[in-house]
Amino acid sequence: MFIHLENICFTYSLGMPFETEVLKNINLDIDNGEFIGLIGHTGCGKTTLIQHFNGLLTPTSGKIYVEGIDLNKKGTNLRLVRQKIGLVFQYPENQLFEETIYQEIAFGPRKLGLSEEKIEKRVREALKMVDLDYNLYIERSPFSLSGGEMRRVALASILSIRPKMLILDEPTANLDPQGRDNILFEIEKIHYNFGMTVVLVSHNMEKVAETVKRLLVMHRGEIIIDGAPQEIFEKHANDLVKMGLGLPQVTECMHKLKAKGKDVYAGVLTVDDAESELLKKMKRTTKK
Amino acid sequence: MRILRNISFGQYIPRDSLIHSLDPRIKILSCLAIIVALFLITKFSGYLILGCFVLISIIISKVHPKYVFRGLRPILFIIIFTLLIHLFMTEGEMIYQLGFLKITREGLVKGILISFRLFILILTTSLLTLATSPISLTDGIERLLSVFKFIGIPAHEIAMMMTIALRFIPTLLEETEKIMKAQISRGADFESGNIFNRAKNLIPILIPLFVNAFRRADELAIAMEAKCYRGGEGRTHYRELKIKKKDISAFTLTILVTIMVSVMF
Repeated sequence: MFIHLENICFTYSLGMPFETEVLKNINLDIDNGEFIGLIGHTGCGKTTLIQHFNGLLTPTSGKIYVEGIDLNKKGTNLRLVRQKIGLVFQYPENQLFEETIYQEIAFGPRKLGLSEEKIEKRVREALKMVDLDYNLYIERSPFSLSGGEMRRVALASILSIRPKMLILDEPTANLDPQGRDNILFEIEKIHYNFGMTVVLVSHNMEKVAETVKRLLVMHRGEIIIDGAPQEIFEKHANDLVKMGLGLPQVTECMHKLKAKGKDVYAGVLTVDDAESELLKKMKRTTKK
Repeated sequence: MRILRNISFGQYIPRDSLIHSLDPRIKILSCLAIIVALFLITKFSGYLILGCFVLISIIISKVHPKYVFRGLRPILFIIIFTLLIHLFMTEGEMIYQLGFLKITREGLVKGILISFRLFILILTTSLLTLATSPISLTDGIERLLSVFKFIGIPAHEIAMMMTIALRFIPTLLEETEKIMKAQISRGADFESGNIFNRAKNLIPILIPLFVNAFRRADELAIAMEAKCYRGGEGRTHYRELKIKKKDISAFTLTILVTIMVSVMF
């Protein structure tokens, strides 16, 4: 078990006039090597929840364990935990500050007190992971890059810490469709090639759903659905629509077919899956 | 990171009360009157009366005293410091000796008086900002300053700058917190090290903060221009300030109390 959450509750501005309960009794286990999507409407507590994973926020009540270590016990070295869990914030390009991309990515490893050779190795490795050419980029200023490139550099600056788990908050926000696909592709690659545990946070069903293997649906501070994406889209389609989350277009289409009395499996996520499902059903009917 | 969330000075708490509904100009001028009176009073009883006056205003404002007194927290250190300085540094009749430190009767009286002065000062200004929305506060300041237009004070511009600054304080605080968290996640450490290291550690926060603030300022300027903003001349207000009967009576009462305490005590 990598992360274990027990009855997490969190209230913002406790004792202030704008006190709000953001998380209500969250129980969650995340294993090594999982690929998870965390979806929910804006303001449902996704970002607040992930900030508990590496101890940036302390729950009002409840317990969090990372690899068996109790995060909120006195004397827990949170820096060690943060090294294990790489948290990429929303719009990570807004935290770039160094003069060159090399320095930017070397920031984390340098804080770990590594030697210059090891740092260089990690910068190379991280840039490779996000598909940026080492020689072309290291001398450039991070502020001279395009939005998509900046985001990749920001992602590399987390990867250079070599976390065991990567959490990304809305990694595709404000990118054009191509930039979005690129980033998702990098993340998928990182997961499959390096076996990294990944949590992808998003309010957008499309794309994320077809990338991940397990989906958590949050609503008003609670995790209300937890399961494989296909299963969720098959069984809980109505709930999702009621929450204002909507379905991927192709899934919605299949549900409409089903509502019209066609005997199809509605839990498909991609156009390709839908095609093969439909072909399968059509063959059967023609045979009859 | 908790620190950033607990700043209550300058925060507005909406309530439906007499104090909230008063004209901002009246509130600002009343505050000034009380502050002037605070520096004229020399006797303890004067502070007591003025303190009661402010406390009653707090009760009328329906703002929980908890919030008003929270504004005191940041300056508690200054109050204690001045109290101690006065306690030990004033010459006079000695009442207690602690090693080489002497406490005198005069020092004690003076220290307590000064503490009261600071105490009431902060309570008054906290109440002003807690019970007046930032918008009406700057409206009030604009109108008050426009009296000095003839000596070239750009009242509207000052007010506009204040409005923008006030508007962006929470945004910038929120952003600072976010950047801090992001850099902590990247391995930054803001809590240990000596003072030079700590100052150096602020660079990863300050640079992104400035970059974003400048970008935001740029966008805001373009947005304002797109809405045809061109300074204060001929600009009308959505909310016209009008002095009503209750404003006149509240102001008269304040002036009477302040004059009374500053003349008599």
